[in-house]
Amino acid sequence: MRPLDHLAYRMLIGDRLKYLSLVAGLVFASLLVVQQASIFTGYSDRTGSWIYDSDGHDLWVMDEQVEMSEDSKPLLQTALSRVRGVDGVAWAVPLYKNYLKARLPDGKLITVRVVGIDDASLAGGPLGASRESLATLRRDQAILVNEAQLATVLSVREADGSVRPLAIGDAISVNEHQAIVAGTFSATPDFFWDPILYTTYSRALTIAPPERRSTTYVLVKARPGVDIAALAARIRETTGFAALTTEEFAARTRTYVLAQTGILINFGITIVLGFIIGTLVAAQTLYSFILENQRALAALKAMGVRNARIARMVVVQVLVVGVLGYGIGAGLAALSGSILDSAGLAFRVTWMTLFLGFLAILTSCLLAGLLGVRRVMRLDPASVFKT
Amino acid sequence: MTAAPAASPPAVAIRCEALTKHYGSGETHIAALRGVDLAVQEGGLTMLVGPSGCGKTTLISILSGILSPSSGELSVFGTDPSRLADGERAEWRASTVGFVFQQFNLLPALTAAENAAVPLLIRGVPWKQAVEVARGHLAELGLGERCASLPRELSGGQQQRVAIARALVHDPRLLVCDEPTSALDHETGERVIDVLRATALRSGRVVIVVTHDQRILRYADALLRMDDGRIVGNRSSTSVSPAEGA
Repeated sequence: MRPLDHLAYRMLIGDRLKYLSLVAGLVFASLLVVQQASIFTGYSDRTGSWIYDSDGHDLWVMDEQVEMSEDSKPLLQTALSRVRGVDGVAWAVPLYKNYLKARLPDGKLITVRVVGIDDASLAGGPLGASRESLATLRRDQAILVNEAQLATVLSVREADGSVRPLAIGDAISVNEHQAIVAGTFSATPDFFWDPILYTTYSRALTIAPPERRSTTYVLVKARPGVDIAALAARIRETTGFAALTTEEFAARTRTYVLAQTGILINFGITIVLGFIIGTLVAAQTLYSFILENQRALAALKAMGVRNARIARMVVVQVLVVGVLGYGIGAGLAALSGSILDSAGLAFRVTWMTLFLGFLAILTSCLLAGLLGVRRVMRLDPASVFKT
Repeated sequence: MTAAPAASPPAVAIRCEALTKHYGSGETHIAALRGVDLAVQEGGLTMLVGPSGCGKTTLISILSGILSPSSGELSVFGTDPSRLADGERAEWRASTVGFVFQQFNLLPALTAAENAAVPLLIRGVPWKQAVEVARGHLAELGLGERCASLPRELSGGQQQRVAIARALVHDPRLLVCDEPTSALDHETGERVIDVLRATALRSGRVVIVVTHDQRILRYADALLRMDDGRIVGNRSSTSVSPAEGA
């Protein structure tokens, strides 16, 4: 370390109280920035949970006007044949998805998302279902329910007032059709809150109100060696339907939710406010620190330290507190995140969040530092002779 | 008073001719220096006295290369610092000038030894080596036991001695002291002046002291009186009476 860098470091850590308050300010700012951004990312990711949880296919084919996974714009049943006829398709199966009313054994009426998967192959079923559990769908009136919701939204109040989880073997009514809970599946926590009931495609059509258009999606598996993007383009060209990979469909859903609903926008505002407050706290703390050192820096200037070296000393101080404050703050955010996550709240720290958070904190610190340095540079070195 | 060298007369270290310094313009115009002519010889303690606002601080700021004059000729050990580029002038100050400020301006986070080492650090001397040299200077000033103390743990006199150690640690040819004894009691003030005088008498050195402290004037080899931006009185060591100098 160069002597003046060492001097800058010693000036920084010499006054423990000031140093700790400076680091604490930056820890708070970093915690706020990383935590809010990670919660946002967590919720944002959850918009695609159901899409990511669907198993076994390469492409989702749907009406071109579909804007998100919960936006049902069904296709005619002939769509399946048209998609199967496209060169490069190994297999294609229909999938039904719609919101219906369901009555639990205790009479409670709830809204559910009914997903009907191909009767023969059971393709499109949830990743988190065992083969045995999926196979139970072949039983009469069978449905699969999310095991995490058995004791919550699907819980049943008994006649004596006690509450029990919905259990395998229980009968519920879906759109006035009886359905039997035959098994469970585990699912990634979802942004959309209505419970999902899996059943077969044909049973879903029986349960649902009759419609001319009944195929919500056609799930497509490409032949081995076929380029997925090229196949999607061919399907679009041949049928006029949208053909999206899982990533593309999740991204479209995420974009729609972010753009069209107030939920994540409002959350975004919270993040921006957190970010602004955090960075302002960091910048203000650092700026005050430099101003408090103004006279000392002016004395150094009088003794022959060049302006550029003064600026470098401030940069050293900024880097030390910035890296330390951010490291502790981001660490605390990750720790709080793991607690929040285990409590079921959305939280995901990404490298991008960490990188951008670091960049933001460091940039605001450097800007504050340079503002302070600007004052020091303008300072008349002769002022050190004044009382 | 210590006797002057007997052989050849001391060389002129600092020469100013018709030096002026103006601040502001129009109604806010201030003429801080109005044509200062000055010659300061090597190896002496020069004291600068005068009422507040007479231009003393401006003059030492110019002599030490902190400020540039508005006009006039200046030579400090053969260099006109005002003609140097900013960076060169900073380096010139770092190598040529030692400062003792009235407010000490010690860095509160550093120990006495580290504070005294600052000019060496500015010149790129490694930390440990610089602090070691500074310890030696503090020991010479009677502060060997207080090297590890922070400024707030030192008395005013001790802080001033640390400031003097800092001013001397890099062996500058010009030492500029602003009211070095104003915050000190009589005894400590005299010790400080003894140190400054011993430094001044080393060959090739110049010590300029700005002061209001009448008690120390008798130690001056040259006494410059300023008023209204001009030198109005100039007494060399030969004209300082034995009674004043004793």
